[in-house]
Amino acid sequence: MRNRIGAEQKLERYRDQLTREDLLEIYRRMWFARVFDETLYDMKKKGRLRRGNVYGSRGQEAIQVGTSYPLRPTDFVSPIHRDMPIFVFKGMSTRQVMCQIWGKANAPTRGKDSWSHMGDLKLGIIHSTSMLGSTIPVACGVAWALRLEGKTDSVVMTYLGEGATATGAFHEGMNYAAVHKLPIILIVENNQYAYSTPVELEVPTPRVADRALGYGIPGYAVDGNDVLEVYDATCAAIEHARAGRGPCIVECVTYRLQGHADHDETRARQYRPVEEIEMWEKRDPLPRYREYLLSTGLFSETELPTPPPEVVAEIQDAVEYAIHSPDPEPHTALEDIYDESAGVSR
Amino acid sequence: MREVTLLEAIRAALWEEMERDPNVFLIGEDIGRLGGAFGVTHGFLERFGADRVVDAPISETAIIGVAVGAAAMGKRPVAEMQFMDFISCGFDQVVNVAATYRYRSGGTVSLPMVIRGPSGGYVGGSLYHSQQFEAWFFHVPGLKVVQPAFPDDAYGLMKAAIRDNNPVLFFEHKYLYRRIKGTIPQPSDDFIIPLGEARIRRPGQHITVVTYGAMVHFALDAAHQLESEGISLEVIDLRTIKPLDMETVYNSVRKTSKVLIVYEAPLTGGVGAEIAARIAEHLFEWLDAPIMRVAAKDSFVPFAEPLEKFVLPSVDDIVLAARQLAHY
Amino acid sequence: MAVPVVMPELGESIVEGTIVRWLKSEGEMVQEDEPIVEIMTDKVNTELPAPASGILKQILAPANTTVRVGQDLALIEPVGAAADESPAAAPPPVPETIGFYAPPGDGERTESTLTPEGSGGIHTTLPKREAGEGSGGIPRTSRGLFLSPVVQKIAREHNLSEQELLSIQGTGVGGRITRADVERYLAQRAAAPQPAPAPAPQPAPAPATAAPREGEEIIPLVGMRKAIAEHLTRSYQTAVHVTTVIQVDVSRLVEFRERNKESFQQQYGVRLTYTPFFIKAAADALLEFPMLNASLMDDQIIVRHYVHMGVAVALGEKGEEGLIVPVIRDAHKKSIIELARELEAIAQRARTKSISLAEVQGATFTLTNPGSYGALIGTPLINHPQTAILGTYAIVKMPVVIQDMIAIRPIMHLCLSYDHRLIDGMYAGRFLQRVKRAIEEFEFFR
Repeated sequence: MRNRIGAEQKLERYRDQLTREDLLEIYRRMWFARVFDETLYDMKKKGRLRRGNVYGSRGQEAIQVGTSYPLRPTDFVSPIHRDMPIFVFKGMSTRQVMCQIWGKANAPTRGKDSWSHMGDLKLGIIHSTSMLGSTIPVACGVAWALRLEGKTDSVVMTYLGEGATATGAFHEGMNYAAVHKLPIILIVENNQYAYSTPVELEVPTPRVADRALGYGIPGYAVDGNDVLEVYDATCAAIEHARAGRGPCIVECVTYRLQGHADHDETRARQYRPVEEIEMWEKRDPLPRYREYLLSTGLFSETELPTPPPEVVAEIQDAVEYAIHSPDPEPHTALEDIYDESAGVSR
Repeated sequence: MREVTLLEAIRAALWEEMERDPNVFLIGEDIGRLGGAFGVTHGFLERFGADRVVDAPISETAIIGVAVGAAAMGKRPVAEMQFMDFISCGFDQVVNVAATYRYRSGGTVSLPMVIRGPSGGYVGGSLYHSQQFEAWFFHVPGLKVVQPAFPDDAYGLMKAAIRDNNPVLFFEHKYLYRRIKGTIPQPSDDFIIPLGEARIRRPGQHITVVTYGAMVHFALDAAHQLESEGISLEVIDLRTIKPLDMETVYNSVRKTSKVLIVYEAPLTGGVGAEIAARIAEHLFEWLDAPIMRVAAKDSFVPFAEPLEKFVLPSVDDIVLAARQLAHY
Repeated sequence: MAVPVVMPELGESIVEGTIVRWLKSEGEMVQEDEPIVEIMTDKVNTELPAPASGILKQILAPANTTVRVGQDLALIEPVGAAADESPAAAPPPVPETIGFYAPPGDGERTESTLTPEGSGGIHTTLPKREAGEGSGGIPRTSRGLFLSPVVQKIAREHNLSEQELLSIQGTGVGGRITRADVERYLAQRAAAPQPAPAPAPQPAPAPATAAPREGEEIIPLVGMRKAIAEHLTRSYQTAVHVTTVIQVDVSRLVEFRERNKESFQQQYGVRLTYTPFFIKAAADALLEFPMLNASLMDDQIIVRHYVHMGVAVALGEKGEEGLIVPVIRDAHKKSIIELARELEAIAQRARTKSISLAEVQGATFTLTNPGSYGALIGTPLINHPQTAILGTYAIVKMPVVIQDMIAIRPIMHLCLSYDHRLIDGMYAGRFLQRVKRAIEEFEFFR
């Protein structure tokens, strides 16, 4: 496994604009992401969540928070299955997200689709499918609509795993975005493994960000476990996009500490060297950020609880809410296939 | 009224809708500078600009995906497949992303988009410029499928397809593009033909012929020939394949008790198979003969003329089948 | 309130697992999140944590049992603060549904109910019949003429009888009655109103408006004629028919009858014909040759050692009213006089159509008398499911050779048709010789 962290790019220190409150909020959000992940694994093990996979993102909190923090309400995101907290950061309620996971009637998809396959265009969240890479062309379409409406300073932040950059859809989407200089920011969460496939079997270039060369666009590669470095790179990409200079790739190098999903926990410790896992556990972004905050001398220990109790309470409330929400009625399986409101069809 | 070819009727509809609604835009390969491989979008780039007439790269996935994203945001994109055959390169976006969007958004997002392009054989187009694979999409929920046979239908249906809030696949038969002429109303008439409505192109007494696309014209030729033999065909042009207008079909079958379904696509698993099954299921007691189908052989459309003729249905095939039915 | 330990879905396609071993025993205290049981599945071995703190009250799935996802494995009796987490009431019963949702184990039932209606896979709706639209109304032709669904429907709606339908000239392929044909018929029927014939089994043979050609008359095949046609078709198609003939010198029989027919009539009140003698001779011979008295049914030969003799009786002056075969039971036990009496009685009943069903059933052998209308020789058809039939033919004076000299004798031919599946030529021949001897030697009054 190659260590891909590249520190060659000179990134502007957008982090210096962050206030004390910002830094605390970033801390809180990272813990939100962590507790979210742990709670769902626990629910699955205890049998309180019985249906559907839990895709863990333990260790990837810095990416989730660092990339989404600079976004505006008028920006768009297209998250993937390891970005569940981003739905909340972008404006969905935690309760809504849990109802989606539990497949309830009041979920955003009304029980029709699972996990991260949901969205809310009013909040700027684009719906996705299991077809990896297919989100990029759709993001281009969203960007095109924004262009037609003259909303040229909105950006579309699209997330992908490193493995999904092997798809044709990824290529066609990035190619199109680059040709037409669309404000697409592609966050590549390079957590080293696509299920059991290591990155060197997915990507032939030294860095995933090197693919940007093929599109003539900037590609940054940063330490995905350093939330502020992620933040800096993201801000740079956003500025590039808002200025109308086109798309960027921001590769955040991290590690998938758990299995591909909850069913993969045992084997993920078999197809990967245990030493590798343990090494990356030592790079856990949460204690790292906490240490950094303490080192600034601006924060006391008590301001940095592990975890913040209000985060735990919010997540537990959402879980109970979802569990006690109604299941969808069977006949609703046939609803929402067509929209006949235009009145031009029999 | 203006007399136009099928192709010109489609162009007129696209133009008028783009004038009428600024949300309508076009995206496809060679549609701007070239005006389209068949000339459908000739003059559009100059009138509407590059943002609304997008010369896309060779990326059917991107073309359809862009249409999806834009439609989700309230635009009304019309994506062109240079040949409908190439839709397979963007198949995933059609069936997994577009068709499902409304369903998996809990009914909150609609995709008012059209994917249009030339389809069909009899032009020596060989394997990849002759396909009629409407059955692929006929089978997917969430999509609508249209194939007009006459200019007035093409005109009215294209307007309806653009105004419909669902993904519509609009198959334009390239053999008919410039061969078929007809009259269409003036733009001020705001003429629409609702999707899902069949039309009886020729009333008859003895046999109900259900068909669409180029086969409508073949069936009308056959009907003309059989008149002198005292066999009267009632030719129903479905116009919209999905959703099917079975009511018009059933009314006709109740009159004739004999059915011949004609479709240009390969026989097995074609749209005609579903129509036959529905008639057998719902109108069994009205049948005076087995339901018959004329379709292409279960093969690809080959290049050499004798081979193409062998695979694709002909007017003679329809005449023979109708005669058999009439004398049953 | 006990908290169940539920088998979770440990992987996408995991539906069951096996309990490897319990890490805690019944009655032991467990802490929430403490591992309490080891589970083995196709994909993963794992330890399950206790969902609550308390006493492991009951193990429901012991080691080495297979458990399904969602199944309760054990019950924990919560202790202390953990009791707040337990559900308020026992889990409500799982409705009988398609099994779409895993059964609940922990009382977290929701408000919705899953009803058994609306099973997703069923799309066909069969056309409903109104009560009163009878299944008996559809005439299915026995001639094998195909009536298409729409023709059947129209026939049903207009109460067309079988003979009406059969009277329609079909213009379809193979003479098929098409929808147009039946609609034309209805139009003509409406134009020239006639009383609608009742759909009764006995035909009123009125040629309908089907226009027979000149010199032709159309009679529907119904009733007895139809029954005979079907029966004989079956006989012919079942048995392998062979006929063998023997010549009988009936001098003694004729002489006896001539001498005694009047006194017989007076003494016994019954006309003396030749038939009782033939019945007796045949019945006696059948006791000696029982295979000719048998029936072949499904690879089993049922041999009888009693004789119920069927005697063919023609009906109608010219025999135009069909054929009936009344049965004389236990003919082998009866005397000539008894046979004569019974024969006269049942023949009378047959001709007056007052014979009962029982009297025409159960024959093991049939005798037919074509000689009564002068036939010299014939090849009678076996009366299925019997194995043979004996025809007695006309008694004619013929020149015969006796001791190398020509004499004139009354000669009768006996023709036995038999089923070659069961009977071979010699057996049949010997039987005939036996019958011949009985008649020639006139052994009837011993």
